[in-house]
Amino acid sequence: MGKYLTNQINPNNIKHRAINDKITKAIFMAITVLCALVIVLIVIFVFIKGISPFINDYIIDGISYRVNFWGFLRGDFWFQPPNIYGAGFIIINTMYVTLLALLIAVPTSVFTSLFISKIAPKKVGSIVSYIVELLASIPSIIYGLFGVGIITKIVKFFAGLVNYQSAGGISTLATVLVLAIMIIPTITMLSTTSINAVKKDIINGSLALGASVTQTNFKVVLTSAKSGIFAGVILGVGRALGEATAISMVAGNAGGGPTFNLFDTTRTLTTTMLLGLKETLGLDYDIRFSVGILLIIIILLTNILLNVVKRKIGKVK
Amino acid sequence: MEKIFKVSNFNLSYGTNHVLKDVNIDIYKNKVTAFIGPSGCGKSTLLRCFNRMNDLIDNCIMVGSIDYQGGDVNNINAMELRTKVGMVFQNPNPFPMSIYDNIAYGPRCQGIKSKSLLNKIVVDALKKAALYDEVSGRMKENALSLSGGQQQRLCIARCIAMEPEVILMDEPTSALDPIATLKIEELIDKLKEDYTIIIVTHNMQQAARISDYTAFFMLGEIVEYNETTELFKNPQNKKTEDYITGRFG
Amino acid sequence: MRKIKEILLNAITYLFSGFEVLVLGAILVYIFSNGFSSLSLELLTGNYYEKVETLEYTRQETIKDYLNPGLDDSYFSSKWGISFIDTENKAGEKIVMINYVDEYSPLLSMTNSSTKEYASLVEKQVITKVILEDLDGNMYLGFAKNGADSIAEAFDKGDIITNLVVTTSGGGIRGSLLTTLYLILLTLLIALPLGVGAAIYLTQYAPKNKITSIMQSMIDMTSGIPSIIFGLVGAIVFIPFMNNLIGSDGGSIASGALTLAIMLLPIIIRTTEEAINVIPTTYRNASLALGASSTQTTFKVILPNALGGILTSVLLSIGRIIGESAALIYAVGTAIKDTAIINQKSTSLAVHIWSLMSGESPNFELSCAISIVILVIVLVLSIITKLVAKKLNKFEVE
Repeated sequence: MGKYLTNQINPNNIKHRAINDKITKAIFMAITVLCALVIVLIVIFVFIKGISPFINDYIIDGISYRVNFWGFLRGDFWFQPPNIYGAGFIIINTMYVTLLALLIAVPTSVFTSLFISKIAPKKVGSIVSYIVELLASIPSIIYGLFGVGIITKIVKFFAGLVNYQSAGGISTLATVLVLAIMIIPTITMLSTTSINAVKKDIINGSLALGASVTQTNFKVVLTSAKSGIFAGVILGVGRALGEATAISMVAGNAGGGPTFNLFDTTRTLTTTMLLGLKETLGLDYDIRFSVGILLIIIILLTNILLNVVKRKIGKVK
Repeated sequence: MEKIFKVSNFNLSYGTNHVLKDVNIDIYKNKVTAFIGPSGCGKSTLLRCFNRMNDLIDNCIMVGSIDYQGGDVNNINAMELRTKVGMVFQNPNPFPMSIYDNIAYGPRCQGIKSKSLLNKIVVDALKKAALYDEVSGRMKENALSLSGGQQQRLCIARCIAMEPEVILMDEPTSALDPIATLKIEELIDKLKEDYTIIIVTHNMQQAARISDYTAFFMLGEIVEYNETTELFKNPQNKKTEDYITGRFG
Repeated sequence: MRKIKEILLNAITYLFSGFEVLVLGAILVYIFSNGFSSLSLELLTGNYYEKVETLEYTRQETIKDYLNPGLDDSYFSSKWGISFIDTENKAGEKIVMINYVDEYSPLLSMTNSSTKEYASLVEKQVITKVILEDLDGNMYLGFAKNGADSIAEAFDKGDIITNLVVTTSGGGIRGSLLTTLYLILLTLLIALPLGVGAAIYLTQYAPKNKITSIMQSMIDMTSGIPSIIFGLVGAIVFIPFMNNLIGSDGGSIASGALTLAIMLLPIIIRTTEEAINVIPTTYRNASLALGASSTQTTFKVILPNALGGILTSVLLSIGRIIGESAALIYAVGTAIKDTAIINQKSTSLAVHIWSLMSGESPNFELSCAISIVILVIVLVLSIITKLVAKKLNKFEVE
């Protein structure tokens, strides 16, 4: 038996590789820890800057000010010089707009995904599915552009019908419509995956009991897929709460509120952060980070709440 | 006869599952030793201890000792141990690379760069694995284009290229058709001149055909260990006899 | 009765799906109808800002006689080899535009009166006024308000040009295109090694314990944070950091890249993890059993087979970078530039649109034109991603 290899092996080679392994593992671990700490970094820094208006002094025109925290949480007017900021109404607006958007988006998404998976002929279904995918990949700035160009015109038209003076269509309704259009693809795609995953056995079982295809689709399939559909809704809610660019172009950034009238302008947490940026120093800048803290908290709470509901929905099968 | 592995009072648990209980066995050099027994009795687990592949599993607790050539396996660097104790797996697993690169993989990892040396190693390994004639013209082809039996012989060649002293085989033919199985059994018979082979098999007839020694495992213990001919003709333990005659298993 | 209900329900699904299709159609129609006319090579390669220069040509040479290309409605100066046309600018004002310059015309090597650098006249530039002199010192003036013919006449009479005011129109997006490209490259340069590294650790090295699953959860949670928050973090962490590191003043492409990098980490990590998890564990076992080290196994066996997934994560990241706006508005700024320099502010394509739309007079046409560019890139990316995914599947079905 020829021994080509054994005499050629450098005995240090194994030692080197063993050390390499230790170093490599350490490097990869460090990288992972770094990546995991990103979220900590985010929360800490936004928090530090955002808490500042309430605990530090800002000098405006020679006098030092702070912002009242409870006033901030309850306020129904964004800014009264020199140091009164209120975000209470903004929180209500944000939830309101998101809720309305959901009311439009969820039925649309669920019906569309049923269409794609079960009701449409295969070719049509995959075309519509692809269209939804394309919609999902359109950047929010373009949705904003579309909102300003077309949707505000539509809103202005309807406002004219009921003789209401809107700000050229810039309104709560425009915001809701833009949000709805943006989150429909997300919810649809996840619902479609869920519906497709419903086992054939369950469907066949229903049909065998004499139910029609439509009954099966609407009663059995939807119920089986509800967990996944709800997961899509949670994702959609997250997207709606965090959307900034598109709705900043159609919301109007109202000074006070809360706004429930669909044809009036509105202001959300994200539009507050994005619009009206002048300086990168001072109270007006830092207070946006406070709004950022509110946004993070609301997203967190909403996620927790919705996940609890999702688990409950999952149990009632 | 020289002993190459000496297992003493060896116990292994996965978490709370006590898989190997007080195992004692000596493996003889340049012989084929077969581990037989019903599923889940610990044969593959013990096999994996010989090249410390169990180190990769979390929650694996080992008590007792396994000696290789006189030294505890835990005292040798795992990489070094594996260059001397090679393994062939149940399902042929050639890398998605060319036939040549598969066999050259091990030596390259050891730092061998010379083309001429690698060529010699590859050709030699393929010949020893009785595969050279079938693939000599297409060594740059993807290894996955070979048949199941050829892939397994490729894996054996890949293992041989490392010039090990021991080859561990974990049910190497259970995924192959009878003709491919036969080819590999013939190969094992040839290989034992140069290598020590330990083979785990579900197939008793296979054990009887190719091994010199056989150990019968049951529920984590070695019930009986003897020369193959003796174990099959005159099993000392009733459980062994029951298994061999097919009363359970 | 039930039948009617069923038909209705099915019809509703058709309706809602139709609505989706309608929305996409409306968006595409709106964007293309408004933006298509502005699309041109000049748009992609030109400056955003208008450039007004004063040029002169004072060398006296043998005056050549250039051939008239015979363009419609144009006035040609055979002395200088240049042709002018009366036209309107975007605001509807009358202007005189150059629509032909002979390749041997001396006007290709004029001098900029203030910087003394070389300048050449090109098509599409707009002439406002010209003063020429002939060899006897007589002055000839041409004003755009008198039309292209008066300008061509003045050129034909004069032998040297003492003063020529020429405007190169802006509205180009070269600066933003380059910025977007630099952002993509720089962000991926930072995020890919980190993301792939973390994915490798989590799938190959990390012990299966609480700490590992906490780290995994923390990374997953990061993907739920809206991009504007990343912008906030970029503004207070990366902008000062880069100011110190590379001497930037306020936002920069570099601070934007860092911000985008941490935003993309979860996607890259998750996609790479999925790609690695598809690789049969038996490959790893085989490699280790042959005496290879974990590092060798990772780089020789695992990574090459995860390349498809890594490529997918790259494509997904590029799509997100191109579409991102809120984060960059905070972490870089909204100042449109004609060049892209790493330690300076600039706008990506998406932020360029934001800047155009957030002033007092929003520029719908240019915004839509830029949108077309973005949509085309996004479409191409999505097609490539599908092709890569198909190639990935080939590997799984073995």
